[in-house]
Amino acid sequence: MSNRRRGLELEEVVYTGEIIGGNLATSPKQDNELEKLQINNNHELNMKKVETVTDLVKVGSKIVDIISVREISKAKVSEMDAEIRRFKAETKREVATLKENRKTIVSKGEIVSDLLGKLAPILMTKDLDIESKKIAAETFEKVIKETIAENE
Amino acid sequence: MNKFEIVHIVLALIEQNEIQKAKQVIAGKQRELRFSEVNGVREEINEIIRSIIEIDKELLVFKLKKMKLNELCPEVTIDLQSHVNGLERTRAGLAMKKMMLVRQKR
Repeated sequence: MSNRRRGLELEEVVYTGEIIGGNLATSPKQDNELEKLQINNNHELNMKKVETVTDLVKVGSKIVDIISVREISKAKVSEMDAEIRRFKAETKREVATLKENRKTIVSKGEIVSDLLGKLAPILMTKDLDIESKKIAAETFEKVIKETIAENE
Repeated sequence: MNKFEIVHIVLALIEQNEIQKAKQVIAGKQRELRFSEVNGVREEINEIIRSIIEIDKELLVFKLKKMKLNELCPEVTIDLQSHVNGLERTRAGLAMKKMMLVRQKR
């Protein structure tokens, strides 16, 4: 038998064979089994869907965790930045106050020193009696106290 | 291993990496904060020391001037104790503040 003939026979078998699905009439038993199979398939499909959704939720929650770690660290950093700024401002203010107070001390000291320096030649004057020198000292003392009070 | 498990592992690694990075950044900021605190306290202490030195100088100059006047005319006394007391009070206050800052720095 040639190959051509064998091919024709095969074609014949295909063409003359039973058509798949051609006989659609099924018995009630077969229907029942088919229904059962369909239900099983649906159940499996639904279970797979549930599993997928659960996995998706897990993935989503992990992503939320990652984002929250980032956000928390950002918040902490900005909190610490604010603390650093606050501390620097506080130091600046405190240092400025100390400098200002020192300036006042120096200026008061200069006034006292200057006035005491001016009193010295008066006390050295031989022509002045003790009483006049005492009056001069008292006057200088008063002036010094007033000037200091003004500078407070 | 399905693809969700792989995604899960990858996300866990990313989370670990994120936590690690956050820890490093926060540790760096904490160092910066501590540094700025220490620097600030040091700056304040230096200012206080300068002020104390200035007060000591004032007290010494006043004492010397008074001694000189007393030497020139022993009969005349000049009473500026309130000025001296004021300077000493300020000095004591500054010394106290300095002690507190030193404790804070530790």
